[in-house]
Amino acid sequence: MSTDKVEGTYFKRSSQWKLIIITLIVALVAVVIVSLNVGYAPISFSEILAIIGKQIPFLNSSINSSSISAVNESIILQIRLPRILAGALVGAALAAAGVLYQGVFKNPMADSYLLGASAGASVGFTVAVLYVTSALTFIGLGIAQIFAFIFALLTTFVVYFISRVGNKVPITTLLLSGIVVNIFLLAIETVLELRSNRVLYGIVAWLAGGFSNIVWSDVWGILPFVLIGTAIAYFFVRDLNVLSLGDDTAQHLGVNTERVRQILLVLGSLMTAAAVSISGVIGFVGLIVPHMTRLIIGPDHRILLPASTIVGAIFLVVCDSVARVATGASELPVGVITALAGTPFFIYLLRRKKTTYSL
Amino acid sequence: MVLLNVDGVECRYGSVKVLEGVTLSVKEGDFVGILGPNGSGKTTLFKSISRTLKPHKGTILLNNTDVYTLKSIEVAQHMAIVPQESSIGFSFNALDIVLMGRNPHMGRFQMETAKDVEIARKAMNLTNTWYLAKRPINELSGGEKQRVVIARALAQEPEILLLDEPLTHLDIVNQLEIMDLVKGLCVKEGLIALAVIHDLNLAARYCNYALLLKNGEVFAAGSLDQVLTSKNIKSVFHVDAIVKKNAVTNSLYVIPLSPPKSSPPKNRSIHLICGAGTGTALMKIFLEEGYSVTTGVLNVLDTDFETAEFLNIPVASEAPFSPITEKTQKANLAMISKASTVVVTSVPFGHGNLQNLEAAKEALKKGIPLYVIDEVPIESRDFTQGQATALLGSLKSMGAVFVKNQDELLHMLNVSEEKLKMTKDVPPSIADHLKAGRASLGKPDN
Amino acid sequence: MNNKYVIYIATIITIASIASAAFMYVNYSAQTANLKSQNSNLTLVDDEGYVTNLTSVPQRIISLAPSCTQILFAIGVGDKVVGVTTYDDYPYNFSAWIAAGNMTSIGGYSTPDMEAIAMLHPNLIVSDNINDAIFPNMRSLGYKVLVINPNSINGIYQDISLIGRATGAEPQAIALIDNISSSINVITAKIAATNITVPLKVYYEIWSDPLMSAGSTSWVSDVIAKAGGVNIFANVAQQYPAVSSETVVQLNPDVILLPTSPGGSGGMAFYGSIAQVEARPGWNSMSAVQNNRVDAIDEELFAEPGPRVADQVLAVATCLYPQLFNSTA
Repeated sequence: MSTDKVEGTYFKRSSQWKLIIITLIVALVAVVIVSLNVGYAPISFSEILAIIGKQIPFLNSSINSSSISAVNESIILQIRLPRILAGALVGAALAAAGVLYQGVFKNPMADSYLLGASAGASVGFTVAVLYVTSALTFIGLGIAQIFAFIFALLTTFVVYFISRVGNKVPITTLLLSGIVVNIFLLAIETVLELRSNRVLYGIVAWLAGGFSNIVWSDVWGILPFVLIGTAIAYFFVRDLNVLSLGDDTAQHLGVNTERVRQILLVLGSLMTAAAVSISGVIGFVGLIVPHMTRLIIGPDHRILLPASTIVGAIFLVVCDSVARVATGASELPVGVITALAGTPFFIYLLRRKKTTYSL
Repeated sequence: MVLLNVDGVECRYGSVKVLEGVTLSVKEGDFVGILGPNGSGKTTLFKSISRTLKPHKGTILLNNTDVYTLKSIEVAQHMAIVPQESSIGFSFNALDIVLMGRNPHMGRFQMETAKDVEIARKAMNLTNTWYLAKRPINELSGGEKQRVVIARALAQEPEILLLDEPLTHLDIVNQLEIMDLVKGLCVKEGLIALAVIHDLNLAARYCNYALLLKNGEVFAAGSLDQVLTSKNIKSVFHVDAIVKKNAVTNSLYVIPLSPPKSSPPKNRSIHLICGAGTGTALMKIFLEEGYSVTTGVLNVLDTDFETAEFLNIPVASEAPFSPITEKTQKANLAMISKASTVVVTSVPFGHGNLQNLEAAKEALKKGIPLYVIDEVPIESRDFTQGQATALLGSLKSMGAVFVKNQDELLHMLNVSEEKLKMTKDVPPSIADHLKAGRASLGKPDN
Repeated sequence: MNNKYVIYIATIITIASIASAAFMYVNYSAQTANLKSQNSNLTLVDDEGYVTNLTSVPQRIISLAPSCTQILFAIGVGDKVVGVTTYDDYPYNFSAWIAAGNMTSIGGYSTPDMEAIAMLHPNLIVSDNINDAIFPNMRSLGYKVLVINPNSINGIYQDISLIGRATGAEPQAIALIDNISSSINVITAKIAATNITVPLKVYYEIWSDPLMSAGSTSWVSDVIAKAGGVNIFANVAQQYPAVSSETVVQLNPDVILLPTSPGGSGGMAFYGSIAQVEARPGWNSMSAVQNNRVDAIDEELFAEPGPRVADQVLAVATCLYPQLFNSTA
């Protein structure tokens, strides 16, 4: 193997990565545009383009307003567009959190709900629906959503702190605490649901996860978390690489393992809590998307994190579009679609590559 | 001038003291071997220096700064660790792993530069792993992985290299190459290396300073000559070993003897007429069996003489290249007369030790049973123009028992022991003894 | 850490926060402005305490719940209803209407499709509270939503009145309420005229695994009371409490009511058969079982609180006092 060849391919890496990111972003935009065509209301593509165009300042004047009906405009701008964008943001948040958790736990089986975010959100949401009657909204989010968010975060922090031994948080303890707390909260959720009268139906529907009631305030609510979360996480991508060598070795190579773990767990939890409070508990994205991306692109977090984030967005937008059209006016929960779509594709990838993971 | 100072370090796990009072001062170019049996605290010392386990007492100073006050990235710029085992979760390829060694020298958002890749390449060439560059780390063998890890440590361009049993998975060629490599870096570039090593011979060959630990304390410290003595090895490892200097490598080498079986002492003694290494094994076996052993005459350069000295066996010795003096011969005869059995090995006979055969004759005359091991034909080891052969022939006719090899000898000795145990009161006459021995072998009475 | 990167983070955070805050502010304040600037002709407070202002009589109404559909049609504004759920089947065969294109389906019972609703551009949406989460979002999109949740017969009357006022059909609503209450009065009078002083104890089984019955906040308790009975779980605060077999046996109801589908298949497949219910362990000690007072009632009739409540009272009374009321099954 000639030296130059190896070094040469090594340096091409950086431009390869840039190409991947650009391709993914283009794919995301394309998927969003196609998804705008999907929905109960039949609206022609040209009308959709006109409606969007009217919102863009410098295109405004060249659009003929008479080709747009008020109802369709309302549907596209107030119902479909926020829903698609929320899907993209939630998919991005869950996938990014999944990458962080898998890196911190050095375990490809970790997902965003490992530390109790989903169980916490469920309990918070149910508690609010049953016991808190308040029309209070915060930045446009209802009281139940706020409770879901707060409880999701609280649960993660509780799991973290009960796992602390001195100044360190051993990984296996963290995993076990997460499992135990999840089970505990699930039991509480069951009790709450049994006492919940007819609203149980609504609670279960929300918890199954979906985007059927998204409004713009939901989108603005989650946007800062995704932006800030992924931006700060990107600081630590090389640390994540080194972390996979083992805690001691990472420490010996200059990584402050405890600090990095704390920060990444906080970021992951924030993003997961934000996602769950918008859309309920949607499974598989946080587990499968980082995996899929890793099988195709490789384990280097410098490309894995941004790529997974975008792939997560694409994946969820596609699944939600499928959910919207699957059964006419009443929809399938998007969590079912993510499972049906994700699993076979993932199995195919695993068998093709036949890589084995060591723990 | 890079200095590493370990001062009065004491480490604990909980309330149990595992390491105490360790002091060590290391300078540029030192290659320190940390030696000791399992559980003696080697790994604990290693962990305390590598900043994994903070010592309860004492300090570890790198260039006069306490390592525990430095940030891990600052330490990583000077010190590289090669751990005993590494499990790597994701399938990075080998070059990526080695490049991670550049982490302490890179800014947060930097990508690896050409210089970094160059350093990695050099490190991988030194450890013979460049051909593995694109292979995923999880597909490599234990030895290949180990070498990649060492390359990563070298890529850190450290001033201090800590290695924890680095040779475990390596075959003999790779072991030598790695040790040569590290030693070369110490000598040429002033690298400081500290290695926990199990192989005492490799340590003796490459390290210039050794720390021998026992039960969490420093038992001996200093140059290899000072630390690796039979006495120290016996004391620390509870193993008898012969320590010699190898003329070719000019380094010590340690020959461990298998741990002695303890047999109940037999109140019998064997006098061994041997030389040129033919008696070493027998001396040990007889001692293990519980006999008391004497030997002679041997010249002081003889291997068997060394063994006898080592095993504290009384030996009649003579200066080399000179015939046996009367004094020595008398001493030898005295020992023979006290023995209950005499054994002659397949030692080559020259004029220098021919007298030993005469002494053997005396034994027979006194009625002491004589065994001769006839493993190598006398013709090929007679350098006395036939005198030895003749003497042996007469020994035979006088009633010496000739056996083909060591095993047969031992068998016969055991048999006669059994017979002795069975008769009470008066020990049987020698003739009866011989008769019984011969009868059990099916040999006709002489 | 380089200063460059601190600035980088700070910039991202600032941009994200300002963008979000700005748009949220714009959205939120726009809504409040809308509300404030309206001249309210009609202010309505629904069962959840939410205040809705209507400026004109709604001409396009969507119902998200069968109970609301029943009320709307009963007060005579059915011609203004443009969308119903796939669960609606009374007082008309709405599935046939939808198939024929004379009515639009807006989705399932708790999962309406926002786009379908938007396409119908309704002036008023009426729903029950089975899926609370959707109302804030609907209202933020500008729709007028009334949410009802009657947990007694009086509650039903109030909701009929509310919907009547909202749809400009107040007189019809009042007439309907009168009608219903007189029918119920006839029944209660008939029972009072006899010398029955002690109401019969009734166990009403909603679900059989786990056992679930109706509690004090379900209108069914009220129906049973008006029919001369007393729900054995009438003092349990929940709407649909899960109960234990033991408790039912211990409370020893005189009559057991099993809502089942007519024709016997649906609901009876659920229970098995009345014989199977009576064969439950320990149940043969109950007076209801011993006296053969385990009755099936029409599940469909009892599915919703609404204008059919008088029929519900009659059905229960017929089971409790068959000698007083000619059973019409």
